[in-house]
Amino acid sequence: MDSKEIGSGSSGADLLREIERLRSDKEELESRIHLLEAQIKPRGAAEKDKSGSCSLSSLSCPQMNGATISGLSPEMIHRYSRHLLVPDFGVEGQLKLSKSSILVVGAGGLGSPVAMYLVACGVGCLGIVDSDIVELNNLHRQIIHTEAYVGQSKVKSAASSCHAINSSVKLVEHREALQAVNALDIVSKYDIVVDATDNLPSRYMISDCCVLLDKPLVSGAALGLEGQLTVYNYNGGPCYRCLFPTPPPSAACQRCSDSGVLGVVPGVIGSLQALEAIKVASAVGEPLSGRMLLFDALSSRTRTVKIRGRSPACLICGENAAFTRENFQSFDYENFTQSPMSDKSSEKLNLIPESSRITGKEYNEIVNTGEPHVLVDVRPVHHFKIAAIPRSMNIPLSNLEGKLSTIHSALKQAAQDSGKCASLFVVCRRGNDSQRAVDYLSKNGFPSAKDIVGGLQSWSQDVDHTFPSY
Amino acid sequence: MFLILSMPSIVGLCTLYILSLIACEFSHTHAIFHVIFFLVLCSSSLLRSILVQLDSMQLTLEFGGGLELLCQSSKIHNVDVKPNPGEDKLTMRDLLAWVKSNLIKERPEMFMKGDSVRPGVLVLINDCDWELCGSLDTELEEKDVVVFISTLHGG
Repeated sequence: MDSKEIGSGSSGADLLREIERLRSDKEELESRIHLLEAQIKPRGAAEKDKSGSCSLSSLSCPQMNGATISGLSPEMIHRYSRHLLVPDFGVEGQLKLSKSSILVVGAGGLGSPVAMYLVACGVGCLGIVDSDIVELNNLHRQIIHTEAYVGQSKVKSAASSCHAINSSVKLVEHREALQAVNALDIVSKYDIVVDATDNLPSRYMISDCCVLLDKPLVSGAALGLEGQLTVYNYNGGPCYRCLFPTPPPSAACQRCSDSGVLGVVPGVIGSLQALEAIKVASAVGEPLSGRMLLFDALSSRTRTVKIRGRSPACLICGENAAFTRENFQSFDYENFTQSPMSDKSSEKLNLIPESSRITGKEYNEIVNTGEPHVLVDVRPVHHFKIAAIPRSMNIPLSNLEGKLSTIHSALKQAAQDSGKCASLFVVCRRGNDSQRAVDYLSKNGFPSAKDIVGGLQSWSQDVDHTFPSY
Repeated sequence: MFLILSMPSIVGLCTLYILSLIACEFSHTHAIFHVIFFLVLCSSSLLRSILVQLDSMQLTLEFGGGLELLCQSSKIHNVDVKPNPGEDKLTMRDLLAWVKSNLIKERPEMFMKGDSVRPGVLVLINDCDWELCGSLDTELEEKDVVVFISTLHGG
């Protein structure tokens, strides 16, 4: 419209005057922008505190100036304009989001998209709690971390990525493990909690803590090619204990470090967790409370199911619950679930006598001296395909029973070739399944079978450093 | 229930056949042909499916969250389950016993504890938590979809 008026009936002098006027407007705008930027920067640096405080008392949004009629600063309007254009979200949604504080527990596969989206979308304050360090084998799914941060704190790495995405969001770094002793203190500073952990005791602990402090909990989980998502302790919905009053047997608890996980799967669930957290924070839509979303990546199927409501008999949130903060702080969650508060620490089985075991170094001696033997690798086939000791024989533990004759003939062959009696060794990934195998073999016709202590993990550490660890 | 519903159709088929016999000129050579035709009709797949449905229920069972590993890594099972002898209904209790003896190929303790599922397994009947519809006593209906899913903890 404007350009048409200028272009049609104006002389050259008019055009020059118009250009001059616009230029001076532009200069004035730029000087105002510089002034505002100068005001933001010193504060922006102060926002990244490690004190653990997440007070947003000076909000609407303390880092923004020049609030407009909407309550959002011009910079916020520009940055979040595509949010504001969504009728169901709009200014109200953005304002509520910018005043909310959210704690993400775990900066891993789920926590990565949660933190990145919440920060990008303009949450007021984001706390990240994790005690882990970044490892190279995290990067396929934990997309918030980069190679440069391998070996460094996950929280530090995540905060740095978040700051690069949106420097106006207040970030609080909790470089520690969330445990019963510190959870009440940390969680109480936030409005909403996102469970992005990787283990069972943490899930019970976080849920109990959220009930005690009356915080909504956005819970997600992913393993292999499947994911699950729900919102606990919100709007009369159940807590984790209402759904799972008794923990599963520890043998049923699969971990990413054992069972694997396709990188995108926690990405999908984590993104949905961010979405649910935003919905709760901005009071928009129907959060996934009393329902659970099940995601199966293999068949590209999602199914949302109705789950039970709050259980009146629940020990934590039920009608006669007598679970206090003191009870919580002294509750042993690892003992309750019989599993560790970490994805990594693995059980150390001591099933068979010392005399039935040899170390990786001792086995290496046997190989070097050419002593006749058979090495059975009892890992699953897909593990064996990753890497294996040369000339080892793959018989997965689950098939061992039906393969005894195969072992017999292999031993016979080795004895024939050397003219001496051949010994039998068993190896697995970490040295637990190999003990189970030796225990079974010793009772079924192989009394002198021995396993390699610590499995291929020790083999890689103590003997062959070029052997890949996974 | 099914017996009553399907009775008229069986009777109807037979009546139609007999009427057609009367209508035709009844000759000796034709009679053998008609007997064979009648036998074929009796054993036809239509009739057989009606007879099967008389006492068994078609269900879709799904296993997830790792439980599929207990039944040969197959997630979806379309099955026909018969109620216990002398009973006309099938409850979740009956179905769990049936699943344990027919589908679970290894480590049954990873699926069941006592006569119910082990802790950490969600049971969903037509996308609804079984706790909301009677748990073990839920009566199943034809074409129901029952999902058994183990809760995940990874991330």
